[in-house]
Amino acid sequence: MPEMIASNGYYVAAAYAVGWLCILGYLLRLHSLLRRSREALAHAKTIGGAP
Amino acid sequence: MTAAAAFTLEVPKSGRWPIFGWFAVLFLAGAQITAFAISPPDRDMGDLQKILYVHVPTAWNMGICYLLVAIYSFRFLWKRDDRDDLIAASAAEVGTLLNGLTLVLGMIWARPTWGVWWVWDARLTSTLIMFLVFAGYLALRAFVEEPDRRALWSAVAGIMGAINYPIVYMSVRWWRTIHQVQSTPSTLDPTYTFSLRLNAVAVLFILIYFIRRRYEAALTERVAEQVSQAAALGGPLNA
Repeated sequence: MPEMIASNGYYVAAAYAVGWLCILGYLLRLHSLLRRSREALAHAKTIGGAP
Repeated sequence: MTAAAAFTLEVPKSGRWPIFGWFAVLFLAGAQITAFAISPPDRDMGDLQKILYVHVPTAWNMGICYLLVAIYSFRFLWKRDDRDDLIAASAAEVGTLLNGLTLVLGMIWARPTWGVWWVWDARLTSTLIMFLVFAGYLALRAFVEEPDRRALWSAVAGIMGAINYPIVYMSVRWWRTIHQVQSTPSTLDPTYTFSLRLNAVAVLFILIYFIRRRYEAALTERVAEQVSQAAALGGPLNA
């Protein structure tokens, strides 16, 4: 019984770890997308001469 | 009037959204700690029951994402406003992420409770089909370069994909399946309902933050494209 409970603990830990990895991974992707889009806009403004 | 012509050049502001992002992440951590602290182990499953607080809120919020995809896809077909297309696309991306996460969390829960990682039953199969449909939606957006055509095809695909969600939700009642009936406060022991609701709200905050920031990035990129096009046609442009 204790072995079963211990092994179940790994599944619970794995589920929460996967959840947080997904969230943090997507946060990094968002950060990168926002930075790239702002750079693209700044570059376009430079070419177009917008203030 | 084409979608591009209807689009007004307006760079979205980040405002206080970064602060909201921190709040959402901390709220989620707090909700999970609360769930661990106050909900007792289940009589049959023991501590495996704690997976409920990540699996079910993820699945519910996946449904919200797909509902947004359907609403904004319809709005795009009606008004032909690029912003509706970008909101639908942002919701679809976040929905696909949550859909994949729901599947993986379900597999992690299934292994110790059912003895297998995967069963081709109605709930699991319909959820996998919906994931593949929206992965296809994202692939479509990546491969079609012409913005008007991409938006139109995506709106149709988004509505068709979102129609799957009621099938996924009702699959446990319409077909014989190994998956339990929907986990809602009415089908759950009252001991667990508060933590479930708290975690559902926490994932909802994360979802709102993700969709808003993804939309912000997509809109900024679209404005950059329009500024470049205007510059190529030869005139300075305020953006």
